[in-house]
Amino acid sequence: MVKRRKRRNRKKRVDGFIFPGSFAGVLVFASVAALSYLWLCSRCEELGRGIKTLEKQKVELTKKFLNEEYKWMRLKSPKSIEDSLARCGISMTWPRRDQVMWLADASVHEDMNVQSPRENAPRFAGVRRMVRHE
Amino acid sequence: MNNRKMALRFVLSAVLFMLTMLGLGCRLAFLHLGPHAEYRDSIERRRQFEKEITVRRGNICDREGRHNILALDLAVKDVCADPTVVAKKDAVLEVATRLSEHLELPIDEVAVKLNRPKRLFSRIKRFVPADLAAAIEMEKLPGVFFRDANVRYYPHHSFMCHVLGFVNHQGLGSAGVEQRMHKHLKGSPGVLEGQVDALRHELYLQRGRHIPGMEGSDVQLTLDQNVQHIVEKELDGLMEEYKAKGAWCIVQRVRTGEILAMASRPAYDLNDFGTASDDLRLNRAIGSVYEPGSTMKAALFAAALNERIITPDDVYSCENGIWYYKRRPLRDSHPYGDLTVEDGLKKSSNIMTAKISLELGNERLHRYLSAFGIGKRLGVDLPGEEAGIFAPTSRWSSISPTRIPIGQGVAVTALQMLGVYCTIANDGYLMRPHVIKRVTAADGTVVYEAEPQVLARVIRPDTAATMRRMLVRVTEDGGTGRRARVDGFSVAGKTGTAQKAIPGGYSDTDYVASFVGFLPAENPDLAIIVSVDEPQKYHGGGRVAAPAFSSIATEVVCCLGIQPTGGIPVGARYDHRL
Repeated sequence: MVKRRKRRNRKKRVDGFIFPGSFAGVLVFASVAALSYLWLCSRCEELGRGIKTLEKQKVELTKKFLNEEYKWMRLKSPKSIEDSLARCGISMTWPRRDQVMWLADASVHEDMNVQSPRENAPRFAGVRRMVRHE
Repeated sequence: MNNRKMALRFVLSAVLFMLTMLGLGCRLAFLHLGPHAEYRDSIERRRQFEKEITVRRGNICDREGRHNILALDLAVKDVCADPTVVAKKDAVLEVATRLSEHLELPIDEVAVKLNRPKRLFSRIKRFVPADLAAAIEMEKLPGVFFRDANVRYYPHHSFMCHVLGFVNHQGLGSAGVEQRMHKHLKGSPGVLEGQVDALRHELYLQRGRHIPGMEGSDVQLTLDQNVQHIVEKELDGLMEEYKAKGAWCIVQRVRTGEILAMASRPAYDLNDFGTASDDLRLNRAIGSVYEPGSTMKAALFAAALNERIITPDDVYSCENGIWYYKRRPLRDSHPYGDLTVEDGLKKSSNIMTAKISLELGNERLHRYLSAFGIGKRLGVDLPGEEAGIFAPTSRWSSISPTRIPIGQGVAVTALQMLGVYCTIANDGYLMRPHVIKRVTAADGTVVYEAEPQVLARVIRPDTAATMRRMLVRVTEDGGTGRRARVDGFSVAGKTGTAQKAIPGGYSDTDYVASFVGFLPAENPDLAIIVSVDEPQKYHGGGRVAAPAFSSIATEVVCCLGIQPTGGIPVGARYDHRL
């Protein structure tokens, strides 16, 4: 009996090279990983540039602040104020003794919640040292 | 095309690609790992950078802190030009005109700097304020560009110049507080290491070592800007009125030793310190010694009272104005007969002072004056303090004990003389004078805070009280210091009119006029010394320095809010003792 050879179905046969599926998967994964890496890199670069820009801004603002502070200091110096007043024809004098009312009583300060000018006065160093000597 | 051919092509392409990559990889590995270390190092060196991060020098403020900044670092610009560009555009005259207008420079000076067509760089002016630089930049002048710079700036120019000092071009504090507090003010610079790209821009991701710098600490002084202004204004007036060679003044809190104002004339602009001579830079209040004259008498009277050698009511003969001791004459300014001790001080009798000094003896006189701080530095926190000249008794001549108490043969600084009166005002305790109140680091930590420090206990409190009463009489009618009165306050003090020492004797024309005193006499708060060097027309301490003392004290007590104690009104007759 002659064995019949099984014939392949020509219609089902695919023409050309078949790209290996596993290799394609590796390539896709590698591409995704590479793109992610590039994205992260560019993101880091961008953040780095941002930080550097902010650093520069901080330096510039500090400079501006110091310049403004300098101008303000010049403006409010006693001599500058005196000159400004003189330009406007205003003459300032200290009040005479009889024009000042002194609130010397400590209780008055407490009641009025006003700080006595003497409260800010420096400590009497002699008192501390006297204790030591005695 | 059959499958075999297709597969073959794919395999060949893949192999070719792999070989190419392998080749490049091998070359890369060869370059990186091969024997060309010098290339690698060269490339590495070019990409690497290390720079010092400069930090801001700390501010110097008055006793109010950051509200009143007296010295600060300022960002400025150097105005530069590229003369080749200016010449190409044929705009030398136009650029020179505009720059000279903005920078207030002579036009020919600017034109000379621009008219160098072979040069690529010319600096027109250094340290130009940022606002002015921006205004110039707006004009878009051809060839003009700017360079960033930092400069130590003093907003008030010559104000407080001898106390603040300055920073030299190398960034070192070279005088005053700038020098003394340099280690706190300078801060510590940081370090930055990293890599740059081909355009020399820093690669942030490759940043290596980064140690941020620490900014300099702020120094707060005990000086008060307003008090200082009052004092400087008065000294300027004195210099002008008396055509004096110099003048100086110190205002000090007697209880703590805090210096509220210290001024010396002539002065100089701190922003232009390079042009100031050594004479202008000298802080005469601590760095100039002079024979104090009669202001020294208070120290002797205090010593004699403390040793119970005299009482205020003891009577001495003042020899009608001339007294010979060791065959050398000693004169009073006016002839007096018998005077009580307190009247002797009031009238400033040289003869009585000499007699008391002889009773006290050399050793005790030397001991007391030394205890008062004469002949040694008081340790003020400023550079350049002089110790004065005060010889040991072994080197005294036979007449020294009669001359030293009247302020001859001894040289002091104004600070030492003020110290004597502060001691009397402070119940006999000599305090260390100081100008630094607090040092605060950039992060707000207080690095240093001054505390009142007692240097010596010189006399007893009861002696000090007696001396205060005697010194008040000096400003009463008939006293030498009546022009030092302050309305509403009783003032204790002493005048001094010292002839200046010249080779072979004393000058008849050159004097140092001074007044030193404190107020309120009942409960002293402030001590002030005013000295004028070689005043013209008048030379007496009572005529020249005492009115200045009065004027300064009148404004300062208002400024500081010191309450009147009911002293004699200025000009009114005062006829009772405290």
